[in-house]
Amino acid sequence: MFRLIFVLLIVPVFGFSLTAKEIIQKVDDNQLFKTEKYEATMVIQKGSQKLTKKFNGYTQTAGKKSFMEFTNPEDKGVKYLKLSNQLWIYFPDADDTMKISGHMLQKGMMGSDISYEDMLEENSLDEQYVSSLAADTNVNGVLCYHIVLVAKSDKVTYAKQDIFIDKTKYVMVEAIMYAVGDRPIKRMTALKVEKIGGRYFITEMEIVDLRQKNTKTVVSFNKIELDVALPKDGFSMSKLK
Amino acid sequence: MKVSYAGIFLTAVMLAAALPLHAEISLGGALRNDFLVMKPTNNQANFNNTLELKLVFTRAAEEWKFYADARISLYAGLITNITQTDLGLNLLRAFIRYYSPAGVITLGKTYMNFGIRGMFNPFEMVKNVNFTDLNYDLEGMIALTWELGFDELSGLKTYVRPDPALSNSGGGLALYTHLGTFDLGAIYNRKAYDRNVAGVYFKGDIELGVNGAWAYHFDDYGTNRFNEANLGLDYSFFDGKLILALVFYFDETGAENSSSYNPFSTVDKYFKAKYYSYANISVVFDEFFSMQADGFFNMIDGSGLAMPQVKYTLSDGLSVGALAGIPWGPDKSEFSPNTSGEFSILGRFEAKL
Repeated sequence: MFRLIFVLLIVPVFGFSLTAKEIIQKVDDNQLFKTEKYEATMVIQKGSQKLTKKFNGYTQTAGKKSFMEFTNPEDKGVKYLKLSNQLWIYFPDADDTMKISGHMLQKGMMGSDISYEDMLEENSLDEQYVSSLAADTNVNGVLCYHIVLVAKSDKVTYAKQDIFIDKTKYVMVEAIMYAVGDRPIKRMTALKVEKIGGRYFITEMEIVDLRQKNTKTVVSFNKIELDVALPKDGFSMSKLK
Repeated sequence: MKVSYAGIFLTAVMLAAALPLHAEISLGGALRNDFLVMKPTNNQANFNNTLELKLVFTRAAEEWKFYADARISLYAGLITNITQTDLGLNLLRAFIRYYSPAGVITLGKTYMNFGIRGMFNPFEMVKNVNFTDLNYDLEGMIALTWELGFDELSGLKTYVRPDPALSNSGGGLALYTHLGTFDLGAIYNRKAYDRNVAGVYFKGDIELGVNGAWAYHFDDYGTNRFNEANLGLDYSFFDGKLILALVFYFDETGAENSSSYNPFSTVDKYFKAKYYSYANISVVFDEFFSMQADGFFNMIDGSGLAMPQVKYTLSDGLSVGALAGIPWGPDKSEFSPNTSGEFSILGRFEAKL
């Protein structure tokens, strides 16, 4: 009897403790879908000033393809096509498509705190970073795994990341991104997490560019549909027009 | 001619409205006011104000799209003691697009973009440079275009432009694809009678952004031929807050010294000389305030034009900005202050609707 109690006490501590890699895998599994359709709003804020952008789009996990179109009056008809780690933008005023390449990728999308490089970031953290587990941390009242990610190569957008994973929902509730020399660049915080199709998703997040004072971008997903049929040729350059 | 634009626009709008589409008609656009002050060579008053209303009318369904872009402008200016006013109407685009299983077909007043969009593109249909707005929307032409994708990133695009004088009609074909991190393409374009161009272009990245194009121009008889090319690079500093872009440009027919400039040889030419470079430096302070400077440099006569500008976004769709034009160069050079004035300052207000 005494031996059984000992086993029951010790198993949760040692027997089921996960490695950083396993935790990241669980986060990835939580977001496993074939296709996704969404409608979203992006609010860019500096002090009391606000700019609001609306967009909708769809994503296909296989091939890491995504498409988005802005619908707010100022940017209406601007479209983005992402295929793997490359990006094209369509300008309705010029009725033309342009590849965003090289250092232009570091620009903020539509003037936000989200760079084009952030958009191109591959889903799998495990492919790009070496992960290690640090002490559990409480983030905004949520007990989290704290994982330190160090880039495997200098081609990865951020040299290092501190990510905080909700221990029960396996959702990333906060991430701090660093440049070389541990200089903090950005912070992403999940503001709202919802259960969609049996899985937990971040439906509202805040991105802060830590190099700037008093600015932030809040992205809210107003509608998410998973594993739905996407338009035929929906990721084609010729259909971007 | 301006009345006919209105006629085309109204006819197109009525046609679009009559289309059996289950789609909403939407109207957007912008109101922009440019106030320009110049210091001319004769020291007399020289300023003008242009108020432009941009009206964009769209109606889109899954397989069809109608798009029209009309501009109404009111110009008032005082140039060397002569007052001028002008009310203008211009229809930049008005087309109907059909997304068919056999490709995207466009009919109407549309713009055919060949090559890489940007400064000194050798394949540009109309090589006008608007110094107060380098990205000003280009006016289309009456044409039928067809774009067919072979796969996601490869395809062909072609157009025909009819002309009352059949021999002056235009048509062109571009094949495009993607290799590694590069977009590539090959083009043949017969712009009009005796004006043909063929060539290749690329855009991609190898640590820094690289793009380039080479075009070979030739007449219908093979007697008049010349080369035109550009090479562009871009690089960023301070985590993307400062971006530097450079373009080097070569036009074989351009003059090799300022005494040979031909003011009338403007067809298929950007400027007058053989070699130019263009630089753009943009600094983004935050989401609301940005600065940039553009510069054109005539590498034959040493003259140039610098255009620093600032832009501040007040709220959604509402922005104000200022742009200065500062020419320099020796007497009789292309951008000499002795011929183009010492400086200009433009104030801009823009509200997107």
